[in-house]
Amino acid sequence: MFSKTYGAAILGIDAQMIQVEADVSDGLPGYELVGYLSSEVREAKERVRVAIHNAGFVLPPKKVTINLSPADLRKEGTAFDLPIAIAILTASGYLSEEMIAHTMFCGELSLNGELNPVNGILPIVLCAKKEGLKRMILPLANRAEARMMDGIEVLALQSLSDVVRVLQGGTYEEEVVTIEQETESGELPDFKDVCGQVIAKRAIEIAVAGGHNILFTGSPGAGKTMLASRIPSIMPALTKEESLELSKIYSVAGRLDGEKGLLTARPFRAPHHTVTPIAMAGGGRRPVPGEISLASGGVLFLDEFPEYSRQTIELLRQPLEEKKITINRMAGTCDYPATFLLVAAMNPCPCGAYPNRNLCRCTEPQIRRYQGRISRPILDRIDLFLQIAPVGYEELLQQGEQESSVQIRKRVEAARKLQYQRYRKLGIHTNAELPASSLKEYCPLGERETEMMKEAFYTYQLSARAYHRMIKVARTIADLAGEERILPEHLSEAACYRNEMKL
Amino acid sequence: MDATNKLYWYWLSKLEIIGPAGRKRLLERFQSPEGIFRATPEAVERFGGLTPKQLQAWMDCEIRAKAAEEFYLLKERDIHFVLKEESGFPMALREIPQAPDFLFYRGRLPEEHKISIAMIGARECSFRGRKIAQELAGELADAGIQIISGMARGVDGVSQKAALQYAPSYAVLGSGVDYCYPPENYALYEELLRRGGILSEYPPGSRPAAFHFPMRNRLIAGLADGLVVVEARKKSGTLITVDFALEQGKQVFAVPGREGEALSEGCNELLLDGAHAATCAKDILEVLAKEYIMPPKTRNNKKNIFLLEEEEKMLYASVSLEPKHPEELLRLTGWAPEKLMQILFSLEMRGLIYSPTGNYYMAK
Repeated sequence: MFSKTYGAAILGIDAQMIQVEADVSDGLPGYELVGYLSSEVREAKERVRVAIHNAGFVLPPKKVTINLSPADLRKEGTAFDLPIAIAILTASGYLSEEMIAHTMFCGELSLNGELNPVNGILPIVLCAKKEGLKRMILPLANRAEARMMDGIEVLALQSLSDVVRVLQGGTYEEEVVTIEQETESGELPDFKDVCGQVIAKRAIEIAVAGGHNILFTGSPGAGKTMLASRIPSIMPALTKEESLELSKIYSVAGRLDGEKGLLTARPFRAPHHTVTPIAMAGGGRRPVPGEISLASGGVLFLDEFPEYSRQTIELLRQPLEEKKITINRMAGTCDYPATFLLVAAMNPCPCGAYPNRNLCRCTEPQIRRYQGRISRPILDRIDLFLQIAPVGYEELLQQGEQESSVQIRKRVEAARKLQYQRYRKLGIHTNAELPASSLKEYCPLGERETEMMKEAFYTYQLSARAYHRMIKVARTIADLAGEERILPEHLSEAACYRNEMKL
Repeated sequence: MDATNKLYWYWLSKLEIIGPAGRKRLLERFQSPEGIFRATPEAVERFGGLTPKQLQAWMDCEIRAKAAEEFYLLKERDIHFVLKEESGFPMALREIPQAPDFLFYRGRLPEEHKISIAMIGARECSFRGRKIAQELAGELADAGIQIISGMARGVDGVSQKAALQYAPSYAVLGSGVDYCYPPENYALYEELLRRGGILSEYPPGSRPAAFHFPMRNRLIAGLADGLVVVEARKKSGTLITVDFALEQGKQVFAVPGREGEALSEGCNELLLDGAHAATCAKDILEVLAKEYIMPPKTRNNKKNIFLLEEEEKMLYASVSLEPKHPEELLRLTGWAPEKLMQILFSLEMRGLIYSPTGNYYMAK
């Protein structure tokens, strides 16, 4: 007898529906599993056979053939155990076609028939819903994550025998799980703790408002890390789509804490500089999202930027440009989103004291070599450069009336809104994403401003790219001020952050 | 002096492992470089003044063959080779203790009747030191003084670059004259070749070995009538040059620095020990060459700031020769960041201030 059930395979951060077909017929007793399977899926053969046996069902000595279709798509992971078991049981007559209709199964089986949790539940449930299925049966441990989606019936069960019992019409008691929404960015470190550093705070505000990547340079202890760790507190709240997208990434990476519901806080990822290129970009034999994807919608903070391996730094080029990373594996190609804000920090020289030559004794070639570890193509993708000066004693003592993150965030949100409206036609959200070709249309300069930029172009010997960058940053500054046009003061402020590292 | 004799001298110059002292002993024993060249191995061995390695170098056929080959190419490569006893040898160097036996140069030698001043200082100098070196060298060169230095990173190179705008400058290297060290000063090297000269007592092709530099410093001091130290740490290499200058009886000048700054400690110590203070070219010329008349200041040392707005004047007064971060300027002026940046920009566009590195600003 033939039967078929539905499972799902993860591709990138989305899932694709897979038909699991089983055929139990007369012939030489045997057991075949086909359909371009990775070894963990092939091993399901033994797991499923034993689990079925231990769940109390007897398989007749017949020829069992299982096919996972589409058969040209590489299948990985252990989520196919349950659909395979159900397909076999149906084909053997324990369940009927009607009982398993419009249902997707997923879950890993243990030998005693228990259901173990799997990664990527969120995209799997989304897939089931999109394919128009009505029910989703999955392991109990995955229930919270699955419940984030509505519009589909989710049955979370403990074991294979439970699944069969419920399919046969047994009662299903839904355990009530309360999803505790994370409290609104409550415990995030706040900018009001930062003494002085007025310019640095201002630069960060501009970076966040316009989505501009930023590079801090400064001596150790000047406060680079302290400033960077406060960036999430001024980022605008996640939109619903962003939240779902981000949750999918975390689900596939197996990092979604189902009990907390969809992610609501913007991520702040600060991988250590020993991170491998694979961990940064994503990938591996079974591709998982890397740090740049986990930082999607939030901040990727790279402290001690030149200490990262050259390869790790260079691989940021594509994601910085295209806001996604493409990973090629033997099994196929997948894209992970990577819409992060790059915040990098570095020392100006190996000892960190440059340009204070009374302390710094690094030689010019040493400094050049150190700064040269960040290649030009990467620097070209960074809009704001800022040296952080060590805080003076007076500022350390200064009390009170530091602006809090909430105040800053209000301005950032207002500026983002302006950009969102302006670029609706272009399908981009921030000034940083604005292509040079649309610059004239969206960031027109008045007569005085054009004259200013001409002067700046010659005085600073700007490249075309740096010129565009300065205008984009000025646009963000104007947005923060709520101005419709870019004014001279916006350009002069943008000029202040233009400086790249040089000796 | 016939060419053959010079050829043997050239060969001798290539035996770097035999230093000036060994050379002197050999010359005493064998009379002339040719005598040394033609001596039998037994004779040299019997002489006993050479270590086994030196002996090996003396015998080395390859060096002997190469010396001949290279010697005849010197002219083609525009490298001059003068012996101490030749008339072309700089007078100034003949008189110093440990005078070199020969000299290589490209370009020209410093003019004897003109005043030469050596400007030296820390390789890793501050922006303030860089600025002072530039101005001082420029002013001196403008007055017709020849600036002598070592083409090194920092003060040396900066001074020579500035001097070349007004007058020839000369560099003494710790490597062969055909070897540009440090490589980043290649543009300066070429300019020196065109408008001044490159000198060295090491044969062409010599690499810059660490022990060459103190010896090179004695030539810098030797060529100059006075020595100006712009920035120096305590116990720095710069002070070696000062020692040579004192030994040779030259005037020593130091640029006074602020108390407590490591890069000025060496200078301040020199001042305490009785060096002349040099704050501008006039200070130096008054001691060294009263007959020199400072040209009228045509350069914009004192910037025209009358046309500035009140606030621009205020900010311009706050920036100095020390690079300052906007954060510090905020503290000094008490302005809002937007206002500060606006005025920084306008001053920068007027060419009154510039940013030497990152977001730091200093007066131009």
